[in-house]
Amino acid sequence: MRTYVLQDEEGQTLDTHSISAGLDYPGVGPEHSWLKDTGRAEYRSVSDAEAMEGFAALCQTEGIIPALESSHAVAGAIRLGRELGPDALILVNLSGRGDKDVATASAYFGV
Amino acid sequence: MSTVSTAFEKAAAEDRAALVGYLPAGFPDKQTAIKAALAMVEAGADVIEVGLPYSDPLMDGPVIADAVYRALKGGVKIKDVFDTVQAVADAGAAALVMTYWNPVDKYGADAFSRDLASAGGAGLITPDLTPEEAGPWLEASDAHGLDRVFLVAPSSPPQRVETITSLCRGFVYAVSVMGITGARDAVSSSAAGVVARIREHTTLPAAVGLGVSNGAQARQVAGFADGVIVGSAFVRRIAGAATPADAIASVRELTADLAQGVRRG
Repeated sequence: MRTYVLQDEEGQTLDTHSISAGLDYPGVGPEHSWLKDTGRAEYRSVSDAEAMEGFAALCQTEGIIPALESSHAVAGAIRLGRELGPDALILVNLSGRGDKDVATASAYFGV
Repeated sequence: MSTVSTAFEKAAAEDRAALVGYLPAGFPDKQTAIKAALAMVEAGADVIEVGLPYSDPLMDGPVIADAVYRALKGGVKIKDVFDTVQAVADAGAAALVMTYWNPVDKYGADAFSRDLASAGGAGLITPDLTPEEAGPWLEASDAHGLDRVFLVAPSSPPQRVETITSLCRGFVYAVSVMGITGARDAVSSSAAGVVARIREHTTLPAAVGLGVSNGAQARQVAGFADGVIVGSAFVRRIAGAATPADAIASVRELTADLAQGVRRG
């Protein structure tokens, strides 16, 4: 069983950064690696800024505070929506709640 | 017959346990680490475990974790590990590399084995490689004539001990506690049980690691095991030394104390 790891040419794990503590890690789980390799899932990256835009958008439009991890999915859905057009139906899995993240969000937005 | 097996046989013939000493390559710097390893050999260590510094040392306690962090900050590379192995092998001692699996996987198990063998290395100790995932290493170690040291834990059930020991060559690493590396005040009471369970499955020597830091503890472990593995205590000596020369002298002194300790009776 193998998994994807951020590493240098000698196999040392790389330092990481994410505004979301739950994503601030150099590896992904083997399930995701398997889903990627079998083509069942496509993975995209999202920046801190995009994730926080997704966070703000869901708070303001739906009154739902997504976890910062899930905010990456919201940002991805917004981007995908622009690609697929207005008739597309997109289901977003909000894996966590963001009330744990309001301090981080408050610092980020300066409010 | 591997050099590790020879070292254990020699110790057994002298009615003592073999002394296995661990040092990470590149700590505090490459040359001092090499000189410290050679001092260990001269002062009576039978097998040298050269640590390959890794960024995610999940089996190690704070002493070794800090040392490998500093070695990596100092720019240590796998090539430096091989050079350290070469120096130990040239001095006539058996040198094993203790490494987490990812650096070997990235290097390529076969290429790593080839380069380790050509440096005179005896094999690998692989703390985070499970037998189920060891296929490429089993093949490469066979192809290059290297020893394979896997670890048996106090929690390993009999079937697991059978699987692990059947893949080992050189010796079997008996982990004395369910924990991380680091000196402890007393030798774990579970250590003897782990050794006894290993002996139900193999005639290979069993060496006990984790928590042995002085001659008295080494003597206690030598009472029931074929080998005594000491790591953090050496690393602490180096970390606490004011100069490289002091570090080497301190390692030499501890080795001599441990080498006395492993003599039974």
